[in-house]
Amino acid sequence: MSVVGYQADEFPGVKKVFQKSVSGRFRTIKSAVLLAMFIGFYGLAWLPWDRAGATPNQAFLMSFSEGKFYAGPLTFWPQDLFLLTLVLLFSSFALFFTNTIVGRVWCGFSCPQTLWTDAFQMVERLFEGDRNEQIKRAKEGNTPDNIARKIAKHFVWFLIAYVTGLTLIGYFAGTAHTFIGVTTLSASTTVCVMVLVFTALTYLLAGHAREKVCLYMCPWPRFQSAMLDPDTKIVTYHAWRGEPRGKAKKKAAGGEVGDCVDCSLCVNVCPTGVDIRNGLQLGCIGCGLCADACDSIMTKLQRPTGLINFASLAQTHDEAHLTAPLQNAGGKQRKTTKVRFYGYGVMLSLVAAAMVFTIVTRTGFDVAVTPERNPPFVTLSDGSIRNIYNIRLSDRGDDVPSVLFTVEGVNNPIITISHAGSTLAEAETPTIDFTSFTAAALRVLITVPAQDRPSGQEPIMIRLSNAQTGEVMTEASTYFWGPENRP
Amino acid sequence: MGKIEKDPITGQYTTGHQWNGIRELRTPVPTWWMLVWIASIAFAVVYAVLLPSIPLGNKTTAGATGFTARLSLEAQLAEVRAEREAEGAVLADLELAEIAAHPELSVLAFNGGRSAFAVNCIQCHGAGGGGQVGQFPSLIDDDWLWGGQLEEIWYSINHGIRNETLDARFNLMPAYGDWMSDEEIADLADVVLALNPASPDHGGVSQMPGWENYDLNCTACHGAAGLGNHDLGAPNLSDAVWLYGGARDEIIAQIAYPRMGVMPAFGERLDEATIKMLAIYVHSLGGGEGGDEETASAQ
Ligand code: SF4
Ligand code: SF4
Repeated sequence: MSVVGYQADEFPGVKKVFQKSVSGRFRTIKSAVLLAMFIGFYGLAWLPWDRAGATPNQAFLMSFSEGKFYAGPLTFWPQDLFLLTLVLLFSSFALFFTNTIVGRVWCGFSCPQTLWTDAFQMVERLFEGDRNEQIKRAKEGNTPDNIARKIAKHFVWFLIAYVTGLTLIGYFAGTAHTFIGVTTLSASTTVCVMVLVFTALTYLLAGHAREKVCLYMCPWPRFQSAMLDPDTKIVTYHAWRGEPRGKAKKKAAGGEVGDCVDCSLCVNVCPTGVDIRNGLQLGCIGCGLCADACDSIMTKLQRPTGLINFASLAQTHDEAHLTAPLQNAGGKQRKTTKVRFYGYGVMLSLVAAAMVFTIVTRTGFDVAVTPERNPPFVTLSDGSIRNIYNIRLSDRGDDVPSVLFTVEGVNNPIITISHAGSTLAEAETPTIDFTSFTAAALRVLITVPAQDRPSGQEPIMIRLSNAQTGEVMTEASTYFWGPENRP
Repeated sequence: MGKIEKDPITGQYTTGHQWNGIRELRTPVPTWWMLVWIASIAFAVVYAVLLPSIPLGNKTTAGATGFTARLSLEAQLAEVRAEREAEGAVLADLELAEIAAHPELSVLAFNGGRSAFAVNCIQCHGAGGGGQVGQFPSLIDDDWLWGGQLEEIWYSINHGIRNETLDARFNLMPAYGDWMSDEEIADLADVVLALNPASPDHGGVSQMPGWENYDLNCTACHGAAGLGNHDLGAPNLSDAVWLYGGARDEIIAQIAYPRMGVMPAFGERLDEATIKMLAIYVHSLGGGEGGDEETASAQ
């Protein structure tokens, strides 16, 4: 094409990474995490949960149509959005906390980008072979065999991406509904489009962008490097032991060489194409695969493993210099207690406690009371005074069949509930039937007999309790207006 | 223009341009970028052909699809209107009591009534339906001049009060100031005040100087006990609710030269369904009356 001319080598730094498979400690952990996450993500979307009434029976559902989030036995309402803030806070502190201890474990082992890329690469290896074979095929170009393999690979990729899109949207629109609705095109346009968007994103990010997400798009690497300290364990190449690199034979012959035999295996297994021997760098997501690769070589050569491993800078420094622990600028012994470790730990516990506290103490009922101010009160025929309140109730799902209203703060109140279309005669009892999982807007009239009417404003408390057990569910303070007595 | 050559240091091609011996490296825009750019241009062309886009003074080119935002809004409004009409037809067919007893229709009627109330009624009766002493009756107390049952409220809304239409609610209270002395009127006002069972004078009301006049002139409409009459729109004089004020001089003024309100016949302005929705909304505001029992006990 005339407009183009972009070849990979014209963009230094954009080189295609062919990742070699490796086995070892960290690979096993990674695979286990991958398996658990995939089972969790794809499986939990299908987990049923029996809820009373006509409410959805999916265990985890962020229902947009209802504006509610179901998580097993818990139901969250829009007014619980505050909890989401806590969840986000918790997640950030968890990220910072683990970061101070072991660097980018999040990136290396549990970031969705890492997980899905990993899975997609497994598929790639299935069809196009391991690294060397992939490179060979890339050089061969489009032979019929290669094309067939490519098609198969992309098909499986697409399939995974599609199921991912369906599952993800299933958490919002109902899994069964999404799977059936989108496949038969009977779901709403929004649902179909969202599934396609997430299918495309998964396919592009995990299949094509891969390490480029970590290198160019993700913000986390930018500030995580500022969060490391000398005691953070990070993937480290112990240069003092490895350098100078040289052939294994030369060392056996007593030559001046280190343990690194320059086999490049650590580079070839790296998902982001990093050479860890150049020291810690932005591209390293801390997955430990290079350590696995190096260990396998060291084991073969019968040398101690751990030439590349998770180690703190301080530790490495100490080993390299075989000296007293790293000194602070003032020459004092380096402090090994990490303020940040305890700081984040405390914050993490506080947020977790706040979360648990909020969930445990949250009432099954929410009530919001707005007194009618136009007019503030009305006189009835017998001289009694009536105030009108607009009350919104929401039931989080505690199965409360009927709610009893009581009022405290004025004498002999008569409570009448009037709402859409109900005639007052029918509703002239202070209890209302309350179907579980609903919200209701009620017009509640409180009438105080003439002899008990307050002068001016009187604070009152509207209390809602379970009509069966008498247990108080929630209360709201408001006021009752009476006519100001003329002197 | 020089020859296109490869830069030995970076290994990139140059553009062939040369300024003072400095050659520019060729770092072309990536293919996908170019493709997006071309696609955007193609999109813009298609858009300009299909949709109104090129400004021509005070209008734009029409676009092949004939789409305009205004037309689409009109279509949407027509859709809503059709939906409303269908709902309205259902409401128009049903009795008020049936609508009120129906769980969904009652909510529909309540909400529809609320918006109709906001457009037509709050100017006089207030947003909360509280009315205004000396002007407009309150719709949230339990005292109704013409009755507070659904049907009665519906009739009042539909035909209005003291307007020129034939079926309007109508009554007139004579202006007693024209043929009673000030003293007689004051005595009459004392009787009216004593009609309330809570008044200390209530027990001796028939011995009061004004009683004879009350009995002669007022009982026909307001009743011997002053309980009023919904059929005649005569207010209850024995309770604590006073449209034109319950102080002695206010009552005197009302006996001498009574004021009487007018309300338009909303049946002439609004459709049947809306009137029904209004009746249901007003009834559930808090002051409506329920079954016959309650009305009977108020009489
Ligand atoms: S750099 Fe970003 S995208 Fe890459 S693994 Fe870390 S968090 Fe995930
Ligand atoms: S350098 Fe090692 S730890 Fe870092 S990303 Fe590459 S393989 Fe993983």
